[in-house]
Amino acid sequence: MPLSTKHLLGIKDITPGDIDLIFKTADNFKQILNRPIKKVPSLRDVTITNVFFENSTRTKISFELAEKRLSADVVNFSSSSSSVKKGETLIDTVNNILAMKVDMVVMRHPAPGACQFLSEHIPAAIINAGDGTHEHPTQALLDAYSIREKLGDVKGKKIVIVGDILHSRVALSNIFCLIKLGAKVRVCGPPTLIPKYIHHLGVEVSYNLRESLEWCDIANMLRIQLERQDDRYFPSLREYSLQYGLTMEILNSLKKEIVVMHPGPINRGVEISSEVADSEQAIILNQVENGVAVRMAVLYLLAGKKLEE
Amino acid sequence: MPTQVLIKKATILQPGHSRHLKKSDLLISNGKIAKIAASIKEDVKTIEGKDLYVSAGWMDLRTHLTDPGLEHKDDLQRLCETAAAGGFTAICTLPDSDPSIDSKSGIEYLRNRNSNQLTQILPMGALSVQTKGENLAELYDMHQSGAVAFTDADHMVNSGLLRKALMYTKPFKGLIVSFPMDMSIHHEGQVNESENTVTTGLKLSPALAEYTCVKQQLDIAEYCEAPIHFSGISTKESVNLIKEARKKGQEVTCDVSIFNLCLTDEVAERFDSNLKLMPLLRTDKDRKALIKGLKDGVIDAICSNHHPQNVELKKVEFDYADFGSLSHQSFLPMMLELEKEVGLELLIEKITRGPRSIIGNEEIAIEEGKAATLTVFDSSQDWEYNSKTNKSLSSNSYLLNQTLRGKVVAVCNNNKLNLYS
Repeated sequence: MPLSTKHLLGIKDITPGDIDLIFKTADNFKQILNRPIKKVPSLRDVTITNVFFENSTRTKISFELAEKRLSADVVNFSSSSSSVKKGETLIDTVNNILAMKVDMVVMRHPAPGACQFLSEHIPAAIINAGDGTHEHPTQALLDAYSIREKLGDVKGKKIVIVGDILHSRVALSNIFCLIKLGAKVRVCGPPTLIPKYIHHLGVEVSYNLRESLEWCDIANMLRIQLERQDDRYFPSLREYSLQYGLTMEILNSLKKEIVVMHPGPINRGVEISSEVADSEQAIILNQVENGVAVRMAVLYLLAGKKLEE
Repeated sequence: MPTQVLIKKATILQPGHSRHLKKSDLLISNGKIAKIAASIKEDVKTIEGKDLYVSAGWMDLRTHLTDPGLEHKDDLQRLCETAAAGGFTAICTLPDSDPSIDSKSGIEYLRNRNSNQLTQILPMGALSVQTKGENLAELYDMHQSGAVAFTDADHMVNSGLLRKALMYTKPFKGLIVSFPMDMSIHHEGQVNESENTVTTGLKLSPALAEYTCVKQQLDIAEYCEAPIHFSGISTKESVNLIKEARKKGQEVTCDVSIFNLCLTDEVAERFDSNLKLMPLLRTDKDRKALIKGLKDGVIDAICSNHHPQNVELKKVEFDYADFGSLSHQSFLPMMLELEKEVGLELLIEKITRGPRSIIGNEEIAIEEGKAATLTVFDSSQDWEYNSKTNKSLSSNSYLLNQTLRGKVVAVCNNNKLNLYS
């Protein structure tokens, strides 16, 4: 069964069957990544461009590594969003790159819906590597994959996503993904950072960290994205940390042992203390490792779909 | 242009008249209604159709102005040709050209360039200098030159300035038109905040931004004992507030954009920049309240909110696209979508008698011997809305390249007549 989609624009548009297929494919790639020879010829002669209109370190490296492990030819393009906004249009930029015979585009962009917009105007397969405050599908896939790896299954697990839900593409994609896989999801954070209608997505809402941690099996601590906040939604990082920062003291006081996740990069001492980040309960580096396998799976499956056409 | 035209078997829409809803023939001769009868036989150009209607010429209360300064979107001639093809014999233009219309010379420019045309421009002047919301523009001078109302278009007017404007215009009965939006709550929102848009990641603007402003401005108008008109209301709460104010006897009128009657914020998921509209599209609950407001008489008029935008401002990421859509030519097909919910008679009233009464214009009569200011349309005629039939230089409409039902077949005004076959 191939994927139901030609692009990966968001988790909202894909089926649980797609997610399952991506996970099973990622299982195989993860095995390969642990072998001495980590490279496979699957995407030989496929050219992929990584177009990043926003800063990124780990997502970009993760995609590039995934592409290279699959033997694809890789071209990178980075530009600040402001210069693109003022000058060449997005369609022109990408069409110029495509004129050089590129098959797939991995794009990060500050505007929500930018990947969908691009997919309607250019013929390449598009993978969304984060579009503003909209979606970050591969992050959600690797998060769910990591939960599956750690706890055996996602179905029935209780996951709390803590932090800036309003400005987080990770939160939105995670909510879609986890609910599709049968998990129970709760969001927790200051009321100013939780969208008013988020409960319509089937999630619970809480403003109390301790109570949410007692409830959950997994806590996904989001990074406080100061760069996305055009306004102050809370008085200070200190005060945020007082209410929503995860410390070892809180973790140790819980009745059961929970798993701690973080999409990175971590603001140590803000949303999560260094001790927690480095503890046995944190699977933060496993998430990073799984990111490569999951992205390999997505690239492989979408390239196959593209070649079928 | 033919000097004589015979409209055959058209249903006359003229509420309050014995001829209302009767099928008649109308002979138009030299810009006048020469004869109305059950059957007229004349060897002249004839207009026929399966479901032909004739009504007083339509008036739009909210057309964005693209001349001077934005002629690449549409110059005055294009703007008026597009309006005429959409059935409008009069359009009230917002002062949002570049520069904005904030002085006598601006009003006169529009009046002089547009005298005795098929579609007449009725200019609104800016409420504040350059619509900056700081100091009052020369409202009296503009009023004397023919400004029909004063507004800062899509900009919010602060409470202090609104109070001054409402007081200042009282002696000469200048109408203040408000686009209610609390900008600090709106906060550059791109779409309405609701369960339909929470998945988009776009900046959300709550209905609160509108109705909290309506509430406050009603209080200010009441204090000033002055009339106020709200343009483009879009929320259920605004309808209720205006209804209550009217019950108290306050002089308040309002209009609604055709888009807010036909569409909801569920379309946000498409990220289609041609559906990026101001006022924002709201929920179906709001849409139904607006429909009810029309039926109850709380909402006086339906406006087109026609807003040409060049492709460079639209074929970009949703966040970066400008607000606005063409709507003159697609107005009738959109309006006919509402026929079942609202009824054709009431819809026509909201674009003829309704807007004219707001700006104090006389009602147009369909009478023998009177000047012919008429819109003739066929409610069941299909037509292709495409680059050939589009009269505008802009193409920002989600309905472009579609077959639409309902066609304006003739417009007559100022001794001019256009046929659209």
